[in-house]
Amino acid sequence: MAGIIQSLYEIRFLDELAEKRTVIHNIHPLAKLLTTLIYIVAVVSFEKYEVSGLLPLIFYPVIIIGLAEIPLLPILKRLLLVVPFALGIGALNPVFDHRIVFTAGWFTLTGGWVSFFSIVIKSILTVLAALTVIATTGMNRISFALRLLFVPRVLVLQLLLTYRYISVLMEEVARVLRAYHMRAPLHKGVRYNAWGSLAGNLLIRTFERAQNVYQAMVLRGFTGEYKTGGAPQITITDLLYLTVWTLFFAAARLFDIPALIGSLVTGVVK
Amino acid sequence: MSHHITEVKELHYVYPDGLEALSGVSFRIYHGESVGLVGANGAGKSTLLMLLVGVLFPSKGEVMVGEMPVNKKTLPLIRQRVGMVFQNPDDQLFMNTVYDDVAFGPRNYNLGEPEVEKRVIQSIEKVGIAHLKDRAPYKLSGGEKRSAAIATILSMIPDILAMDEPSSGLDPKSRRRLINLLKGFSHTKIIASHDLDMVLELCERTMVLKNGKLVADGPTAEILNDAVLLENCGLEIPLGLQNCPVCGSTK
Repeated sequence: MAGIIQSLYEIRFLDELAEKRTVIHNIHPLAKLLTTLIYIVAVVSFEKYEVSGLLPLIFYPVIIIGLAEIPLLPILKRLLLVVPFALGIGALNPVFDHRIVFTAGWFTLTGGWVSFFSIVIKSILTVLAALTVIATTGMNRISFALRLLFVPRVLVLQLLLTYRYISVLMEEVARVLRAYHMRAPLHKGVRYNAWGSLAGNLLIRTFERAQNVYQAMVLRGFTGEYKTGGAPQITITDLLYLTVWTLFFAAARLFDIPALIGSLVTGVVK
Repeated sequence: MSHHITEVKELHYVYPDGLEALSGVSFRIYHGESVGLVGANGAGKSTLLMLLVGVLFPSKGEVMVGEMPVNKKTLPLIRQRVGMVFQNPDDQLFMNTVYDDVAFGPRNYNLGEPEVEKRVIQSIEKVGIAHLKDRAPYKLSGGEKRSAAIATILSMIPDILAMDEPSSGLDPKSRRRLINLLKGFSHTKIIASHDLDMVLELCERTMVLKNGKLVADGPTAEILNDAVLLENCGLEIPLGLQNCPVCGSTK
């Protein structure tokens, strides 16, 4: 119970972080969104046995989190929610792929394990990038950027309203569950014979609330376009931000930076 | 000032499930009037307010705001003129900050950002929540939420304020603040409420609804003193007009 109410507050947490004013927050949403998309493409485009090449890309989320003063723990907590999926996807790779790629004495590393780590790292990096862009931009401004990219209005609106109504739904869930537990204090969860009516009730209540919220919006002149205030102009800083990061991602993608640094160091040592 | 007259003629409304919520309601409200709309639960108060702002459309009859009939074409203008404050402020506050919520209406009318800011600041100062401008609405107290909801309407600079149970769920002090706030407004006010004491203080005119029919319309002091009428309509004389509950002495 307390968990649901707590998570209700947490849902808006990222949006609240987005209200801060730091160097990163001040970058144009479009520049941030494009950078994130390019980053995600760069990360995913690495082939399945690549691990070391991916490592330099960790700098991007780390630098953004640092500059935007995003508290690390809540972000890691959200990241943990996604990790099991990545583990699930990669779990069978070590079982099926026994090709040996590395041996050092008694230690052998199979291709399965390498691709497993690659999947986990890729998912961590992409999810981190998505979380940081939300935490530094906020859903409203991301939607604004999506509109600039000519994403259809209906889709953007769907995204925004779904995001809004999640909290409406959760409030109703919290109320229904509270009422249930008041009258069934000995039950640990909700008994299966109450599931149907509980879910049905919830659906109707949510419809009703959503309708009220929608009416409140319509009464204040809402016509389908979600206006979120001043549209900031793209400045040189924004272009620089996008260009520098893109160049970095391209470099990380084209060259194996850790290997290069390694050979450079060993070259010097020689 | 004929353009500020709100007129309802022979209004009927039937819900899709066949329930007749309003039948043959007619009245005229003049500019600057403060009208209380009272009646038992299910008498049709909220439905009437919804019809005034065009959230619902009458099954029969007509609603006129100013010289405009309320229909799909006139809706944008009507909604700018009539501000509706919902019973549950949570339904009305859906943005991330109080500022954005109050700015939502003006932005939808494509006002420039400086004008939006001016209106937002004026509205939140008027309801006394300027210090909460950057707070998240869902973290406010009940009284603060109500004030914020009223500010979201004021920023549209309406001529008419329609309010559904504005004092419900407020503690006595917040209720008092709300009453004082509303007293200071020069808008035409239509207040649907069970809080008859508030109606007594705020409205010079009261309309009583019963089962979708307008059964009384007149000066508040007369109507709220009519014990038989109120009793018939599922109401009772407001505490402010009753005898002292301790010593029984008459008012």
